[in-house]
Amino acid sequence: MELLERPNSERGRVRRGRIRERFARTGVRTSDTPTEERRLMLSRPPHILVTTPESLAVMLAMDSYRRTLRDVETVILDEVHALAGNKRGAHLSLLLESLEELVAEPIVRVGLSATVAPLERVARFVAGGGRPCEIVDCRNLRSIRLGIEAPFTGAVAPLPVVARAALAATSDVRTALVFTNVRSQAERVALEMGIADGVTEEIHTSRASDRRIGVHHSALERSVRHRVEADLRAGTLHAVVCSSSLELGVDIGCIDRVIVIGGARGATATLQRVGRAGHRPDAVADGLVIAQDRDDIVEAAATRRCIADGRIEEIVVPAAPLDVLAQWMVMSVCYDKRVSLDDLLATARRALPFAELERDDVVRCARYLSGGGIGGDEAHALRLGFDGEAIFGLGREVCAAYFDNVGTIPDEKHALVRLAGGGDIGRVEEGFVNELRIGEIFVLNGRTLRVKEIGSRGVTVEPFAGRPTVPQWSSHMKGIGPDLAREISDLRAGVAHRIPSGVRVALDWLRDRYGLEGAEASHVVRYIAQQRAISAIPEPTRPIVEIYRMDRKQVAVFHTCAGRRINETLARGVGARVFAAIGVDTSLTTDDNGFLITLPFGATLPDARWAQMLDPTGFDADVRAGVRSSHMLRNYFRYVANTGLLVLRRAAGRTLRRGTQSWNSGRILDQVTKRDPEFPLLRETWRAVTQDLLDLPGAIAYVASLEGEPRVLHPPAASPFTFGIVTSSFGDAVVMDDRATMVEALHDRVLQLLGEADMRVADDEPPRLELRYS
Amino acid sequence: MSVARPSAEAYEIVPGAIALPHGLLFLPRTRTLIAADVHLGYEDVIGGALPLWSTASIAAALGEAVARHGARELVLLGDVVHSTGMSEGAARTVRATLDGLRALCPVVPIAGNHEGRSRGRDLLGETCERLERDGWLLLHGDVPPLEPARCIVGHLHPSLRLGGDTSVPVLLGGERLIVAPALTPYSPGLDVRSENCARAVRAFGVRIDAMIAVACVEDRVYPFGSVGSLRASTRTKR
Repeated sequence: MELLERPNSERGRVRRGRIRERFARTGVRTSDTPTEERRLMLSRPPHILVTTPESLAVMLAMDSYRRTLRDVETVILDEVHALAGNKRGAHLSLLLESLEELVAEPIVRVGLSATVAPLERVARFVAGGGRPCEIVDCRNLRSIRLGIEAPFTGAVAPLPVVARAALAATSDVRTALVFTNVRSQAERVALEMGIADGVTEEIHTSRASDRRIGVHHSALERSVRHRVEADLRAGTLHAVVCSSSLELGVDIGCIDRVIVIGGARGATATLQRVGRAGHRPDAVADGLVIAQDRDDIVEAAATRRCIADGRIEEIVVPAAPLDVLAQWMVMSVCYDKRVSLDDLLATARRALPFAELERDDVVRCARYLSGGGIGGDEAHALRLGFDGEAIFGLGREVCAAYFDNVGTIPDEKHALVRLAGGGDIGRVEEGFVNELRIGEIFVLNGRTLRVKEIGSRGVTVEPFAGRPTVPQWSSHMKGIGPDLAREISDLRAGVAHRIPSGVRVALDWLRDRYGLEGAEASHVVRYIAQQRAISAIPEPTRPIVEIYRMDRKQVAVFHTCAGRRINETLARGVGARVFAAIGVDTSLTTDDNGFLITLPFGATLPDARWAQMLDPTGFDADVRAGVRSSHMLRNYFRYVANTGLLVLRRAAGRTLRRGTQSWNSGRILDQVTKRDPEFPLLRETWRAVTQDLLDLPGAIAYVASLEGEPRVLHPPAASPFTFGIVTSSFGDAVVMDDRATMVEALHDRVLQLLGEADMRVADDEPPRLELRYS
Repeated sequence: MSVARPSAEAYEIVPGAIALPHGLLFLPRTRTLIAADVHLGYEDVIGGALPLWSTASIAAALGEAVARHGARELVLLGDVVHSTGMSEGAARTVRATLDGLRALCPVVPIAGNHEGRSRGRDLLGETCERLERDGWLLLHGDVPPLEPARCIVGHLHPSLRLGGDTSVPVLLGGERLIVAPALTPYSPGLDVRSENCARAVRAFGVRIDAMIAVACVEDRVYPFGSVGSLRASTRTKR
């Protein structure tokens, strides 16, 4: 018997049919598998079982399945890159060790991935327990072509223009995939491409047979998605516009070209997306990035450089997530098994994420799960028994609760958004609420709203006439990593250093190092020359801080160029320092190239103060202070409490509404913090927030690497490098056109200030872009 | 217009009704101590393997107040438990907690929505829907009475948001209505300046602006004057 682990159970559906044609009996065991099929599987075990970590976690708890699982010989982990770096993978690694305990002969483990780094670390993750592992590296067997197109002459391309360019790029191929970074944009691009293709009705209402352009994203109904996949395989669809939903897994047949709108936010994602094209061993994967603005050109060129150098984002294996451990401990003793702590610890340590697990943590988890409570107070709901030496199961009822709460995938929680005066507006993802702060402005269902209150039940807002400060899509818009950010920073600085020697020198360098030529290269040189003239170019170890007044408030833009997660962490630390200085909360906006802080009306800080904001002394404590008061911490504690079975998401219950009600994670977090600061799940919350969600070690390394204080500048107009962050708030499709208009207006202002000089940038001589201001 | 006064250990919010720390209310003529929305067993009911911290701390606060003011009875103004669906162990603790209070003085539980009205009998003993004390009608307050009456209710969990997740319970008092805040620390409820709170109070035929707000912490009470003046001074839009 073989186990085929798939992070994406949907793929099993297609793959099963294929496998069945050629091999012996196969079975699929996921949460969707009907009871009848499950029963059949027990009486006639399949030779090949396609399953998920969650289903394996259920099977390993049940004696009936354990008997079957004893015969497992091989485990194949497909798309291992989608598991190794997260809690789902950490969970799976423990489950595989449990499985290993069951079988007579060691299991042969095979991990598969098209794009993963670093190979050694992921190999150790797959093998577990320091077992020997052979790496078969065939990453270079397929080559990738990545074109860059910028369909604009100013600073930005409006969405209809981007869609027309995408349609044109599909004209000479049979099938194409068009990737956008957000769902709402996928809908909008598909619509615009359809219009450009001659579909007059709205794409959703036109008859399917008339459509040549489809749309696919995870918010769509499953049946709709399957239909689109089938049409694409059958060749009846010419192009499909998708968000990351078609990045991996789903079988969509042969794709001739992949178009990435904006950029894929990283080398790995670019390889995955473009890799969908020419899915044959000898074919060249044909990809094209359509840049929406000048930052996109820079990002695409830097990405191409990273790919060519083989620098793809490294997977970081989470360090001993204790919520996952607690859940696995409960599984290990279902229904009435008994496991000694020594055996448990030895098994857990064979899983790579738990290699450094402390015995004390296992004891603490056992104590709390057995009703030892927190901080010495007893709890009544027990998850297992513990006698100081071993843990043991407590029978059916506890196992039923375990089955109902198994896994590490957070519930798709949505928070209700309601108007202060009454009336609901809609729902937003919980992840989005994590980022929100009081006073911030965002767009939902086409309305601009200001946050008045954030509670456990939802967000209270008031209508607001003005620009949003928060991108609606921030929760699912992926940020770029530190490697790519560094390359972008190097590209900017490299061009800036060469501009004094002549534009030609800069253009040659772009061509030689980045393969960037023609209009796209000129765009980049103009962009950087403008920034240089209006403000300054941030260097990798010497960021700049630009101070503006916007709507009579002081705004500081930190060009830290450290990647999204580090920028976000830096922003929290600086936010805490600003709070300490003025005593009022500020609003923060983060993007890939830096972060922006808006002071409340009337508050200002002198330049010298701004320059000290990235001082490494005490930065760690300041970030923690910023995190302590954040919704991020409270909401993540909810997730950890659920995963670690501290608070059940669902309870098998005869009892009324038990475990299904909302609970105040903030107040419970306060209680836990007060009673036992060392409580394992509290420590896990802090670990994950500072290491997985944010990047505190990265941020500390960044501030330590800085050579002196940042330069503080007062540009006469929004500098070109700030266009992105100032308008990143306008990424939602509803206001996409506004965003383009706004960027063009900012760009016009820059051109106005620079005058005719800007036109000379394409000449061979150094550009005379100089601006004098005090 | 009433004005804010210095903090005190007790404050007569309405003639014959004293606001006490923790958001307790005391009627001196009948020596009745009133506590609303204690939500015993909360940590267990949410499906938590958590100690019953709030049950213990609330019981301690109630016991201390009964002794200090020589209460002749303790009225629990509805939502005495967070739900009747709790583990056996938690149910035992809740029963023992109530028995401990009964040893100090008679305890009268009024039925609320969280105990599923009379379904809470197993845990709480006999409950009633309403009772009268010193000219006031005491009831949980999820359903306003049909007849005109001077009511003391809970249910709304009135509070004052201080920013972020921080809030302080507020006792609201007027000639015809007193709203007691929740003793449970887990549900801050409605900000007294919010339109939702105003609307809820209006259901009792009372304008919230004229009501007196007394913020209550563990050992003191802070009379803030009328909700109207409080709203004006904190410049919160409705």
